[in-house]
Amino acid sequence: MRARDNPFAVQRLDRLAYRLAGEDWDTLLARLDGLGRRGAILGPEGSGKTALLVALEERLAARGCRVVGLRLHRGQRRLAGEQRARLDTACAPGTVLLVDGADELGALEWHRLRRRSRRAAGLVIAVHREDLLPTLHRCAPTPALLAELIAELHPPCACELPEAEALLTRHAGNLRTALLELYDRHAASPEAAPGKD
Amino acid sequence: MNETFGDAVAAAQAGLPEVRIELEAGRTAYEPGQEVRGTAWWRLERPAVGVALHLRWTTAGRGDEDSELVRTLELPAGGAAGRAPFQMRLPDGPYSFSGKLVSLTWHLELVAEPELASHRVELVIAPGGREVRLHASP
Repeated sequence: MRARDNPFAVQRLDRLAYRLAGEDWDTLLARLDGLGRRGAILGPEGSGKTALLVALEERLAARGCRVVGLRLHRGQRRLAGEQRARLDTACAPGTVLLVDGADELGALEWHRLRRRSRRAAGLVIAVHREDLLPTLHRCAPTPALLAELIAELHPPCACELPEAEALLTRHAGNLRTALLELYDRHAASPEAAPGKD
Repeated sequence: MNETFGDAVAAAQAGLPEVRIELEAGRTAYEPGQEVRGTAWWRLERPAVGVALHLRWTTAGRGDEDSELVRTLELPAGGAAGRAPFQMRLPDGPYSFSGKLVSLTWHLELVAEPELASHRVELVIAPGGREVRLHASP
């Protein structure tokens, strides 16, 4: 199978909409307002934090907020120059700053960012740690969610809960790598034999 | 407000906005360096302020997407509806290819502003006009 045809290609995973479990968007946004628009999305690696930030960006924009996003990569202790410039534009009334991976920053850099963002209308971060901002939402991958995502990506691969549970367990709760295991299975499937796809 | 709402309803009923790329003879496969020809046309709710044709490649597969805008052709925009023939020299590479881990595809995309309506078509740019298959038998 060609990579572009693989139903579990990363580009397809990235287009999956975040599923809020146990509450609706109005409740989540009301909680964000209650936190003074400063809160953290918590969850382990591959649990959907980035997808939730993307969805939140759309919801905030629909409410008339200007949204500026920063994405930090693994091990990034300081903001890059271009990110500093974006932070400056974000620190204005009416603007909400979304930071993916804020816990990668060094302690001093995080305090600088937090202090500078006080002029912004809000700050939402996606992190693994609980001690940076009050918790807005906890991303908790479940076998049922994984089964639902698989069924959406490729209905012929729809599986029962025990199978989804075993898959999720193998990947320590990481939805993304669990779905990439299915990518690998498809890439190696008989249809992928030379000359057959 | 009501007038704007009424305009939007009328436009939706008329199937607007609509933009389309029509390639000469419907051809989508090319040798590197060849010229692609076709016609761009658009029907918008408001007069077009900019119509552009973008040629870019993107990757898909197991890794994060990579993408590069390689050429842009600004077309003469005028009125809410229009058409413009175009020709564009295609680059020498990278070739369209697919393996198990990554595919690279080329697209022509027509974008009409102010409505940001767009239409894109996939092109194959590779020797013989055939996508290179990384895991295919020789």
